[in-house]
Amino acid sequence: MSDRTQKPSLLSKDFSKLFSPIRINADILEGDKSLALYEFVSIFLPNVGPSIFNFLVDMEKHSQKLIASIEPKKRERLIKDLEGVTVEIHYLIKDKGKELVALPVNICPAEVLRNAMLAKQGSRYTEKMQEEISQIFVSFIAKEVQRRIKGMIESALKTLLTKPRMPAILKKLMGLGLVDKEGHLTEGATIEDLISGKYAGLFKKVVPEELINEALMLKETIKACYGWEGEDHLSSANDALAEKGILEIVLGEIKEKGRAPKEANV
Amino acid sequence: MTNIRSLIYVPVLHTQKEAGEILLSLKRDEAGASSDTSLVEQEKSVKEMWDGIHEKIQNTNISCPTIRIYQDAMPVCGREKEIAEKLAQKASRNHQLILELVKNGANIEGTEDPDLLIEEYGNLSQLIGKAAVSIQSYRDSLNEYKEKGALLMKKRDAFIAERIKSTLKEGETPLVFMGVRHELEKLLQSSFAINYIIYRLPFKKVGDIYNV
Repeated sequence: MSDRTQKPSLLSKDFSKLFSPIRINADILEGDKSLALYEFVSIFLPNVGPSIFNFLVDMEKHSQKLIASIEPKKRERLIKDLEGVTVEIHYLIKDKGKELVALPVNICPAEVLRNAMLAKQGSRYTEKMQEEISQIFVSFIAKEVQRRIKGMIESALKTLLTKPRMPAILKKLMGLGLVDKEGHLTEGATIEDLISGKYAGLFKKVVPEELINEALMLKETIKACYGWEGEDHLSSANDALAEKGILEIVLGEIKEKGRAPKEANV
Repeated sequence: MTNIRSLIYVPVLHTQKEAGEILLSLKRDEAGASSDTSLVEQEKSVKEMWDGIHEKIQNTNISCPTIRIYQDAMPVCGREKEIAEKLAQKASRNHQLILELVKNGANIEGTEDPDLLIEEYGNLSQLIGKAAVSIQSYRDSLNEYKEKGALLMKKRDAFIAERIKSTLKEGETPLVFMGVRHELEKLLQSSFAINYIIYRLPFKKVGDIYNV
């Protein structure tokens, strides 16, 4: 059998429980390439996710028809002979020869034949798998969004560090262990906490506009998510984003002037 | 017999096109002017809708200084005009119209309880956060949001209704801009004669406008 072990994912999430044989090389996929690649795929290969899924499902469905016309003895022999054999289809995206994104589809003919013989519906490639594929792509884009936001925040922090007198806000952030001496965000500092969570108040003065950036990019993420699935949840998501955007501006404005109501964490 | 006052109610229809308009405009601020055809069409449609509402308000022939404006998501904070200015700068047609009315003498009133708005913001953040995880997660969260949201909206509406009744001065006409999720009119119809201003665009289907 082929090795289906997942490489460490781009998202620092454990994808080992997911069935989808998709790998993303986190070490290489940096810079603007992932977003550019996403844009390229969105424009030129909008149905790549569902297409791969359909291809796999068609293959299994087709095998059921074929197996039905083969004598039982021959089926058994075929399964026995094909045991351990794998067919691998590699969908690769490379950057200067190095593997960037890989979709190594692993087909085990014996398993396919056995499932077809038992008339197992759905077998390995289920709707769950399709959702997993979408999840991975969406999370992959979300990671890129976070990376960009992190870059913007760190850039702003580094500028503050160059000032002759270190601003009090920065001292406070360093004291909380959120920022190191070089202006990098430390491991425990999540973007969510800084942008809209518990430390948002402290960061407000440093990165106010990035709040909106985050919302915009998240919108693109949602778009991608629903694009893959072909379902129309976008309008409600759009509404929620628009309302959230307005409230961010409204609550941010009153907080900025020191008239914030309690717990205004925007 | 008590003379029932008139109230002008403008349902703010969050069209799918308009919903992203503010965000799109913010994006455009960074990216420079866009020549995207669909974006130009969106701008045209949204402008047309708000121009229509503007025209209908003018046709009421109510003098601006006698208008008191109540706006969805406008907190009671003493900085209502500044907030409207900021949102108008961010391409909100709704707030651009309010500013124009204020410029002509209309009064803008803090409308909503800020704490309830924060609660709403928290719910929306949670919902949007879930959207990035998966579709199923978003669906579940949307249902949860609707349940929590309905209760919160009742509280918001109750506050707004009381706010209108308590701040409206003698001789003034309330002009209320509210999102369609609000059911404020139910709480006001016993105290006011409600006149609705609705402008419909020639979209292909109603769903394009009303998100239904």
